[in-house]
Amino acid sequence: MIILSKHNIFYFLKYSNISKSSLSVLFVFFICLNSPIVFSAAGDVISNTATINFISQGVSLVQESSPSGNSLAGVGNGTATSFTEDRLINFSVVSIDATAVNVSSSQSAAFLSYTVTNNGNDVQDFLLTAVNTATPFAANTDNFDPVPPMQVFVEDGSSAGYLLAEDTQVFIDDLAIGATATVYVVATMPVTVIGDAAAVALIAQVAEGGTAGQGAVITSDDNSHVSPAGTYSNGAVTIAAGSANLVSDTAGVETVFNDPAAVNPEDVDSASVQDVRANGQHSDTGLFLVQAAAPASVVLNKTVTVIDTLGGTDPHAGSTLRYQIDVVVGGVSNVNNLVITDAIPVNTTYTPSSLLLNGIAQTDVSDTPTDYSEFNGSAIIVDLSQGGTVSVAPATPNLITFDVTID
Amino acid sequence: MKKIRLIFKLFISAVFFTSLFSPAVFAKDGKIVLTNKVFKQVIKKDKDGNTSYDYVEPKTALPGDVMLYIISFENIGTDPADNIVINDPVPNNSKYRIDSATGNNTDITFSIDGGKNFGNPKDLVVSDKNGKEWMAKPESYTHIRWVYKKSLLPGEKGEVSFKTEIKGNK
Repeated sequence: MIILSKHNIFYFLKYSNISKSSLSVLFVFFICLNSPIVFSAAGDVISNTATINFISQGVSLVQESSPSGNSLAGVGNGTATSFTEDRLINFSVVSIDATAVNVSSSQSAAFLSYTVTNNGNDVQDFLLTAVNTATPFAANTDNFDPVPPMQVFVEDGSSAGYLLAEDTQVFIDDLAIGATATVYVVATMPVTVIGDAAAVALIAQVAEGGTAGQGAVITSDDNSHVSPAGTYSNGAVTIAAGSANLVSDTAGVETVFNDPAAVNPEDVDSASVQDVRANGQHSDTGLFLVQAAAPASVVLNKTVTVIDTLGGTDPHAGSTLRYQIDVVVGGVSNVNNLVITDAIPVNTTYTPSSLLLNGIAQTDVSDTPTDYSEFNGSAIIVDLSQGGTVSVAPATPNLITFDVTID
Repeated sequence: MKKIRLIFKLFISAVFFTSLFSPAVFAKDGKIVLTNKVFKQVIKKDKDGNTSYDYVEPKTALPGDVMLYIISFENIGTDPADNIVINDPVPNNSKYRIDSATGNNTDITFSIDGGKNFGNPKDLVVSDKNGKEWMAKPESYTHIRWVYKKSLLPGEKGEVSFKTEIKGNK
């Protein structure tokens, strides 16, 4: 029996019309209940003894009950009616990512999060394995698998989220009655396309708990339900599940797999694509979704400097206007077919051979592949993608300058 | 605690005292046979698919299972038994099921304080810190008491019962 301490709760108890008394009695009293949450546990003996008080020939007598009938008077002469609470294997596996986990192509150490909760009445170990599945998620069709092997790790409680240095346990050791463990499925993505999705199920298999280290897999129960034996692998560590019925009827305590309706299509087990009732395994499925990187963008920043004929900055007829265009690709992706065109302003005249790209002189004529820039008579044109052969990388600026004179 | 011990001592001495003067009581044979049997409630389906409850020997007993306790008392003596009161604690790991206590010719009351006080369900009231009163939940009952309203004549038999549910998730 496990008792979790809880805050003291004060109750006021009031009784009225207590039947013991012929008088109507009303009294109120306080008791302080150190109200514990008591979990009944497998192996507990549940016992009950009734007592009868009566008067015979003017003599008060007391007797206790027994399962077969007790006729001996006196306290202590009865026998409790008792039975042993058997073990119910009852647990749940739940994907706790609110939505699909966004990943990018070739990302490493992407992880899905799950909880495993022990709702049974005994301490249990749980072996874990992640499997690819093609589970139907309404919006996303599974169309790729992460790079094998996928790994499974148990959160150690230090800090939330999967951390290589902290979360190293590959099975759940001794999960107490009512307790929950967080589990991560960690995987590397292959080269993928935006919108690709990979459904991954975490399967938990119940095993014997109570002693440190991995307990023997419970491969069948006492209702002749069989658990699919198999190998539980987190990639780094392979755990053989065994294949024998190791625990039937241990110490008089029967073991029973709970038998929930397998209505969730996301549940699978290690032996089939669909959850099997009462097999000592439960699962749930999460989804990796390859996400669009931030949309590509190109930022143009154009400035002008006046160089007048007298060496000042007065824009009068004959002054030169030097334009500079900074071209920067935003986002995280390269950009193709990036061509910058800038019309020569009215009342100005392009200064021949003034076009520079990153400080390098460009010819005015169209003469690829000498360069990919030109002045076409009304505008300068700079093809940063060099005829579609070059992707322009983000973040690195390209500087275009050219001069015009004021007419 | 002292008070309980005192009562117990008084009780012991009363038994001892009376036994000195009534050898029949001192004898090991009492006048009533008190039997307490436990069964597990299972759902039974007949050939038409109708379901009903059946009560069987508990081969397995798991959280969520409903257990039926039947307590019978039979007068095997030669004199009537009067002022019959049966007390039974709700077993460990178990919670009393609402409205499950039965017993012909009995008044049934319950305790929520370990058997110190008994009352009808509507009179078992708890109130929280804010003063709001609540009827105690049946699962918080600790004891059940049946007061038999008749004399149990020699050869007569009576029976009371109640149900519990084993605590925990199904």
